Amino acid sequence: MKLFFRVSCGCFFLALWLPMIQQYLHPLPALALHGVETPPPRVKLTRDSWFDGVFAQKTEARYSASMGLRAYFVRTDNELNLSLFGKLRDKAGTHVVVGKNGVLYEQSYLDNVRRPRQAHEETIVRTIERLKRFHALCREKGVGFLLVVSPSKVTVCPESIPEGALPPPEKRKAVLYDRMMPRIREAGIPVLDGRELFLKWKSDAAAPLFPKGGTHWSYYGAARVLETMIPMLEKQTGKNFPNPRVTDVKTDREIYREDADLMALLNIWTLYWRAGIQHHPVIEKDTDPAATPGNFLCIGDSFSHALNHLMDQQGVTGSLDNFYYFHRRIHYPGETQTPFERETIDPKTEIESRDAVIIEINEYWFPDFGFDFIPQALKAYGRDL
Amino acid sequence: MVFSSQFFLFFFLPIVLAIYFIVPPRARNAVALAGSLWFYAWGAPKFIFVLLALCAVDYGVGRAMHPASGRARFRWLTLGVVCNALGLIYFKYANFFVEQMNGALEALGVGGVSWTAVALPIGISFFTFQKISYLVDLYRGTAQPAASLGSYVLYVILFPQLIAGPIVRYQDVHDQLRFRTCTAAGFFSGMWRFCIGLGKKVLLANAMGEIADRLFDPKQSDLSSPAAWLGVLSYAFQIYYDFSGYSDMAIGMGRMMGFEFLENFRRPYLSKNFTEFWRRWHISLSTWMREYIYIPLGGSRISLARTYVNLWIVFLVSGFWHGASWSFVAWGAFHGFFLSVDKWKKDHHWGDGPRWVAIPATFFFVCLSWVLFRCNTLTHALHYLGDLFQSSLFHFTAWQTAWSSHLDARGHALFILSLFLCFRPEGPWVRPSAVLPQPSDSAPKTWPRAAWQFAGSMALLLLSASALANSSFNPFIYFRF
Repeated sequence: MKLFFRVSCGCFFLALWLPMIQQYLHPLPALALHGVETPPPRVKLTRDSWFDGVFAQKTEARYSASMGLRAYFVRTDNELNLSLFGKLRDKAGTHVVVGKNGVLYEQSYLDNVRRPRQAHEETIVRTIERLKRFHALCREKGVGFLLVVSPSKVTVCPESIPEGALPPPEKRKAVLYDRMMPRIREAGIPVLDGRELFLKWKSDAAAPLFPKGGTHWSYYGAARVLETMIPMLEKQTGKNFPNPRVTDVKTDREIYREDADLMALLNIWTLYWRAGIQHHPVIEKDTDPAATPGNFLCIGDSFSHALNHLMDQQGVTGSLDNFYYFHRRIHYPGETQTPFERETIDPKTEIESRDAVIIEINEYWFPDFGFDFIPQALKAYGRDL
Repeated sequence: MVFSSQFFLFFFLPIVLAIYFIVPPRARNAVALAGSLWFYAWGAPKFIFVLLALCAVDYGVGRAMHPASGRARFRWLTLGVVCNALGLIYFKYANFFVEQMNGALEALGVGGVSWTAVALPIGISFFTFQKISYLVDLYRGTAQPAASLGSYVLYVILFPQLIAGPIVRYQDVHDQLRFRTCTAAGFFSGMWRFCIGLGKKVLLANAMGEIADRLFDPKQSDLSSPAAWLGVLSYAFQIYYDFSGYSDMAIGMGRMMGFEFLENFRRPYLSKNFTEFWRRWHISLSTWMREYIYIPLGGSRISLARTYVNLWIVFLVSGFWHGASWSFVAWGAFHGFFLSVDKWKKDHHWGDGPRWVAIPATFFFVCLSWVLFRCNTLTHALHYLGDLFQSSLFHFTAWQTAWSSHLDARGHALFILSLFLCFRPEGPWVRPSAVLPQPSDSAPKTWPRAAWQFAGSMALLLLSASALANSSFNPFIYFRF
């Protein structure tokens, strides 16, 4: 028994030391944690930082964030909670809701239906007026303009939402999408309504328009949108852009880019098993020799990634800049990312050098069309409200 | 730093234990002292100096008192106790007294006194009682003075029991400060106890706390009776698992280092009356109160009326010791009342009734007292107590609604587990549990039990570490800037 006690105590000791050993010597494979965290700042040890308790507090926070085996622990806890209780712990960051049949939703999209974002009538009027003026400005400069409204998984795929997560339809308040879309159409703004299209395609789509484990439209869904979007841009600009077509769907277990971003955010051990079969569009490139890749500016949210990537991959664009939330430039080809301060952007140069400007916005983000790019652009031309 | 933090578990503890066992036994006190100073200074960098100064005063008073006799000896004791009491009163209660005084002055139309709030040193309630225990034990001759100032400081600030007890009487550890043995069996037993405590705190107490916090939120309006009871029960489990978990970790760490601390909790919710409750709940506090307040006041060896008064004094002090708030005083008075009732029943040879009645009845009243303990103000406590007894108490659908809307699958499972672990029957006919430590447990003597405790320790450590790591990980899906 003495030997057993000694070995057991040794194991316990080793267990206490293992995170530090892993942090500095990395004996076990390093695992990444999916999701974005703001790393706790490093605090210098000074008299003030010590006596105020700031040094101790921040050091502990940094230690927790960088501790060895952290990813192992997080995955274990999440896997246990998901397997035993069907949900994860409530988080301060992005909260993933596990729906029926393992379909995942992002809590904030459910919240937007439960407690919709609201805007004063004056804000709505001003926003639509700015869109109108921006459209007119683009037309004047010979640049195409298209507003792409990406749909929410909650509105397109409500059948897998867990019971009680949303109030019954008759008790729901109107979301800004419902209030603004009719008026946007009335104002003559060229718009591609993703929600309308997805609800129309849903019943006979060859693959899911929203992946089980993702919060964004699937690559198949984005490719279908692209098929619809190019002719609209051609009509606007009078130019002939390459127009790829979705011809088939292939299935395998390879997870493609954002198609399982919510699943990845679960940070579990059984990601690939739970993600299941993945559907990918088979896209036929446009071989028309007269078609010329365009130069586009896109201002959008995270739904724009799939669209832009497809445009680049399928040769629709020779050069594309995506102003992601109007805070970061993502340039194609190459998908290089550069953060910027908004004041450093010259809207005139950005707009006038393009074939078309695409404003992509998810219905969740109404009324923040262009994330302040439009007022800045109108101001640059002296046409703001 | 707290015991249930990653920094403590995977940085502080392994480093301190490693050095503790590497150095020769005669240097272990120095290592324990250095680790304890680091532990306290880390959480209370300003107050470490106050604490060391107070320790120096106590040590000096003890040294002066020991050779003295008669009135001089008593005067030294009085000086020491008063210094400690004043320190506690100033740091813990000055803000409260000034606030009450200002309230009274303003009610009389006179302006209040301007006052800068005093910060509360961590653990002051615990280490003050320990310091008083040292002086009184020296006075009574039940212990010898500490061999050195370092030895005395180690007694006061030994990190396993510094922040949240158990309150260690000097007479119980003074021999261990001089000489103790560390064995593999003792370390094993401590490891098992530590992991149980960690599991109780991280896996049960925190989960119950989430439920209780939601239901006790003063902004909660229209709480149904079943929901209010769910809140009370959750809090009852939270406070038990939190406090007893901490004690288990303290006892476990002490045992790993060769110290034996007295038990602090013994399945208190299985008590048949309040007297028994206080022999099972926070045993070190009730022991201290009995030794150093109740018995010096005469205990029960004086007139009946004085005995009842002494009981009330002890519990009012106990209530106030827990916190500077009228709701804590009310909590103490509540317990004082029921202890007086127990005394009266005993004096009149009244029993408690059958166990199946006495235990739930005692638990019921203890839960009511937890409302006073949990609520920040007496007003909120009274409002909450009112919520407990509405007509919805007798409606099955109200219970169903409360259960389903306030508990998810995880909440259900952990609530039932908490209930089961609290109320599992005990008694000689039940095999001593390997899950919960029994009083005076020691290392297992059989292979199956040892293997089970080792596997359980590793599992609890892994589950707790996973829960702690995950609670500090709050990612967003993407940058939104």
